[in-house]
Amino acid sequence: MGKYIVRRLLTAIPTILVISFIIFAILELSPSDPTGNLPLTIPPEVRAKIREALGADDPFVVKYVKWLNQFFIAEPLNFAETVFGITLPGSEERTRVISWATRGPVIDIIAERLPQTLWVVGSSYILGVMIAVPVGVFSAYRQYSIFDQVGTFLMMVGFSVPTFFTGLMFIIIFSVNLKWFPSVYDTTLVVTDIETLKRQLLQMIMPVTVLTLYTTAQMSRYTRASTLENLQQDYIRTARSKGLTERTVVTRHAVRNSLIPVVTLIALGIPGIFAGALITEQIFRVNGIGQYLIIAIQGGDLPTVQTVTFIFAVLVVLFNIVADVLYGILDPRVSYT
Amino acid sequence: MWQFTTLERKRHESQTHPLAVLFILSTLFGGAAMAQDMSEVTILYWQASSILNPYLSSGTKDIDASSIVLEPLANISPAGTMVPVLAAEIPTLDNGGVSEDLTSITWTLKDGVLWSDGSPVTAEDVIFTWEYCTHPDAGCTYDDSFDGVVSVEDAGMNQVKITFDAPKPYPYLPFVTQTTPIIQKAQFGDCLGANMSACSDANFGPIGTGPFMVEDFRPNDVVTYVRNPNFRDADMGKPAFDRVVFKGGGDAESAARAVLETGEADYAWNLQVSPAVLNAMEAAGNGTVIVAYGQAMERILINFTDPSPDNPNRSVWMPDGANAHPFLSNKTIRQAMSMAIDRNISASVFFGGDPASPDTFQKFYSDVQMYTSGSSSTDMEGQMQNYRCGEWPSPDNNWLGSNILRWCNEEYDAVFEEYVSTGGVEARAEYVIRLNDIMIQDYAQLPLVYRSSAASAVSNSLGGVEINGWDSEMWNIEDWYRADM
Repeated sequence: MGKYIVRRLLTAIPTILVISFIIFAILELSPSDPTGNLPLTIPPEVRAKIREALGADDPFVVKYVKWLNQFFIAEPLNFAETVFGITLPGSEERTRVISWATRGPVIDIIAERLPQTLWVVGSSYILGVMIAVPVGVFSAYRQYSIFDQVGTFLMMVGFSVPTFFTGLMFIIIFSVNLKWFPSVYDTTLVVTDIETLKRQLLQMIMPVTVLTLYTTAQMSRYTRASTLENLQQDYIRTARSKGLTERTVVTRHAVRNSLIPVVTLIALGIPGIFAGALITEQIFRVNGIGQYLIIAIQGGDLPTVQTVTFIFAVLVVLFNIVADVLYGILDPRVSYT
Repeated sequence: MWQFTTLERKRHESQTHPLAVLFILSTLFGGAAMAQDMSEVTILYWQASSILNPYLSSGTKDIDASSIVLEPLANISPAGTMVPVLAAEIPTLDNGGVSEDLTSITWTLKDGVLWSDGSPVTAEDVIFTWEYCTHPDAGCTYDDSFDGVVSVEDAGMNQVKITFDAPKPYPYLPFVTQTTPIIQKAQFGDCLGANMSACSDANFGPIGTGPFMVEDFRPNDVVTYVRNPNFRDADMGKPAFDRVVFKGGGDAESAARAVLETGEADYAWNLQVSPAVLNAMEAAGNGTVIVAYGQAMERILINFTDPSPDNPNRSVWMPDGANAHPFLSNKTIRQAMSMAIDRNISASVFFGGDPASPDTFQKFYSDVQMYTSGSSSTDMEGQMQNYRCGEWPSPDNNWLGSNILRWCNEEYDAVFEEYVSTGGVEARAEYVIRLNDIMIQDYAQLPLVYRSSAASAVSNSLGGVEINGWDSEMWNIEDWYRADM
């Protein structure tokens, strides 16, 4: 197993490098312009000078190597410096990944926004999984019952209706008409007492619900399908014939096996939490990683788009490995050699 | 992650099911979150501000967010007139502030103006601002505002003298409007040229002279400002608010909704939303939509050359009326068209300017076209110079000429020559009116409608707002106050 993990991690390195190159190449081919949002009265010569100062017109290879250097050398060294409170040689000359829009380090903004995204998107993910697994198992156990029919219908709705629609519906119902929850998320809110805690919960309810609905729909479908398959297996009949209670048959035998594919699916979904829910964050102004990526794309802020997308890609690769390893741990039939 | 731990602990203490807590809280206190705060004003910009330094800005959102802190020598009011801000008065030919030969302008700073850190504003700061933006490695967004400036000098007695390389009949581009405010030398001194980007602390929290100062800036998200205790009008009770929250992100429609329907915000900027949707939201009675007027005039442009597809010199001007339009070159027909137009129309057509495309507004392969344009400056020279003889677009100049009409009028050109050598805002305005009369009474362009350049939503509980089409919409935020509902 240890050997397997090391081998997978080593092969991930070239994969990640290729991904970074492909992302960079796609961004390079896109017709975005960092001066595109400036007022029309700014003359082309000034725009050209701004691009020059940003290095936006440098040759592709120069820009790519610069970014590689900044991301893989300057950023980790800078991180080490801040964590250990030391100054490494060459600290002055190192440039970190600098956003074209804010002219500040991209990583600092990601770090600033991560709590918001984890808090809203992460809690909706946990909540979604917590609801989806029991609902999926019960739907499968009582296949074609009223519960299953209604559940399947609701899950199909949750799965098919896009979050920008449910989000808007929620705002119109709960913010405009009922005036229960705020539609604008206050990212500066600091939870210090019961009053601020209340405000934090109130502003989280709508975005979390919208996302939970979507996660639950997706996960419960998988759980149901997987449980159904297992309930028809021979070992379930064997367990029943041994005289075990239904409860034991379902929870100890069927569910445990059914959850193997679901657990890997959950692991694969975790990078998505980091990426934030692009649309939901935008609708409720949660302004986490997803909204940051959208703004950067709109503004032609290439270093930011490259960095955020790349970190996301790395997480996808890593959690793929985690999912594979988990699969091996949960299912003894799978062996890694 | 502090939020997470705090919340978890509180949940465990209460030993109640979290969902039950949520339900009880939402029913008991739901409405409380929407209440208008007397001491705080909330502004929504659906494009979030990325930097608070206008010289490195990538859009209007940055200019407006920084204009709450940084101030120029003079603003331009919604009516298009200059209002002194850091300057004691507007320099003119009459008061001797503009030299007779029009090559220099001398601004006098107001006495005793302090930066928010308590240090005095001096001529050195103004000089430094010019050096900062015009540094060769800067890539400064408003570099062109300083075109032709040879020097900015301390003229003593709190005065700053700006010298131009040639007579500048309109010398009010440098340090006028929120695009070129004064920045503090002490703060930005080490941030010249290539170092501009390294100064994140200064770019994210400039020290200014405005009514508020930056408390917290989260790039592309939210800016919070607090009252500037050193504001020059502080003893007059300005500003009325203790705090400003400048929230970015989302979209224009939901921003409008937050002001007009839910009442969560006081001001929402640039609502590019269909009027039908806005009217429906306005009906909720929480606020109103206000519009700003700048230079955006929608009009029909007449092609004075023959645009027929079978004409080898399609839409190309030729001397002696050789390629004149078969009927639009006749003034009576143009006049008849003008009289026949129902001006209660609101349609709009947009044209691209890509020279490779067969249909650009410069190529003008049609008899007439509808067009809206304007500049951000109140001075009309840039507009008026477009319609001189010889500025025609043609294949020879890659269709880059500005006189899209292919119109030529000797009287216009003669008046224009006088105009460009005349100083003084009012004298120049008279020339612009004469030039406009010559062109419009020849029916070279048929004006249709004076378009608003921006629409914003403002809450009924917010008073003192004067939306501005020439300057930052936040230009008079020190005068905003909480009105009775």
